[in-house]
Amino acid sequence: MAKAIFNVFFKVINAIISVILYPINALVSGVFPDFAEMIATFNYVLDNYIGNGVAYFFNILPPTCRGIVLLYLTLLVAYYTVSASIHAILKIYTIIKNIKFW
Amino acid sequence: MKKHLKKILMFALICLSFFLVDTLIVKADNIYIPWLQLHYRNSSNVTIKSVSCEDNSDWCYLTVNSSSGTIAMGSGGLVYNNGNYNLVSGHEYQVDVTVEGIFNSTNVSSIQFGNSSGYSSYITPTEQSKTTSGNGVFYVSFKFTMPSNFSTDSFFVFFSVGNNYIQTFGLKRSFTITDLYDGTSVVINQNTTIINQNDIIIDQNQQTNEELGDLNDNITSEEMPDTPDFSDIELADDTPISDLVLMPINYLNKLINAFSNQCSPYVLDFGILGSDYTLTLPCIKVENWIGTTAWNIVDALICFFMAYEIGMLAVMIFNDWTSMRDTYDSLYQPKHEDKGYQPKHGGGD
Repeated sequence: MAKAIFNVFFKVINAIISVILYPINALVSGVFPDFAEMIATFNYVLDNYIGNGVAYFFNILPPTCRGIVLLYLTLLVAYYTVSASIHAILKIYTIIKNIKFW
Repeated sequence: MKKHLKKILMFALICLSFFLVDTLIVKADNIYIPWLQLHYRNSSNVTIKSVSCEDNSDWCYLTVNSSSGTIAMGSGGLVYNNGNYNLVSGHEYQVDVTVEGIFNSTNVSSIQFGNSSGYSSYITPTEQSKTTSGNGVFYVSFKFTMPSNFSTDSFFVFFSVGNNYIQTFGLKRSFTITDLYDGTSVVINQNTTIINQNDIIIDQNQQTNEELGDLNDNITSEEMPDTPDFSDIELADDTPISDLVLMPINYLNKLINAFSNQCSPYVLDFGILGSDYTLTLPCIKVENWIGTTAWNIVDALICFFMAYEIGMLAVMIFNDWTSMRDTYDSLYQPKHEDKGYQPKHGGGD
């Protein structure tokens, strides 16, 4: 259940950010290819060495403990997502209200 | 308590890194530590990554990269060689093998025969032992009928193994083959060189992939001519900024997946030893070292701590969300009462 929630969340965020950043990606890749390559290497190193290493480390934990940590992470991410969304909506609402173009 | 836990965790991580560095400095061609093995990496990224056979051991260990994609069920092919034992066409045989590792199932999905002139088509076993899954030593028995007009000196057995992570599993060198036609039974011991036939399997896998590719082309080009062609639409190959922005999310995703998976070996491309080496850290089972009772106590302590943290988080969420009423109220306040508003000509005091 928690994994499914996370999957949906990650896919939505991924899609939104990829679409928004599409022109910037194209620009950076086209104008600064070396910089793009450097970022790719940095991501690879971080993902391959640190990401897999931490994942491996957490695999050592017992299953019950991993379940509870997963629950904790689910609550944390859900809380910050909902809070950030509400605050963003309120801020947008306040801005629109203050424009008073009507 | 939180500070202490952080310190303990930091200390554990530092100890682990010191241990790894210390281990890796003692680099040798045949480094072998009971739970730390250095495998020679195969140049291809197909199913079997490496084969490691110790001279004094009855077992050979294979590292399987089943995440390479197109092979259905992430099959890991085990090669058996029947040596001087002649398989007669039309006869039915029973084979008993022993394997060790983490298996989603010990199902024998297909068998293929080979000789100097080529390979037979894949056949499915006529009968096999009950499929089981788990971590440990498994005795697998299966039957097949030798195809007619095909003399063979080796046959391949394809097991269904895990399809989403890299595994190391063992293959016992000796196996038993019984001719059910006359009841004769022979135990065959394989030597190292016979087992290490990655290239044959790689060729077969490539052939299968090519056939699948051709089939896919035929389907898209002939049978469905009205299918819209999106091949002209090209998304950017490099997405550096997206990757950078999404890095924390991808990182968290990786972590979540790690929480959900079973304990699995960790294969690391280790550049400083040369491009031909990978470092494989097998699954660590602390339970086996400190005992089940001690491990359960550790488990319970961590669970209690996490339960406390979840409780604190719930209180924080409750406080935060109930205080949001102030935020809602502020929306309806007149502008001069907004936070931060200062009158231009302050009166009063």
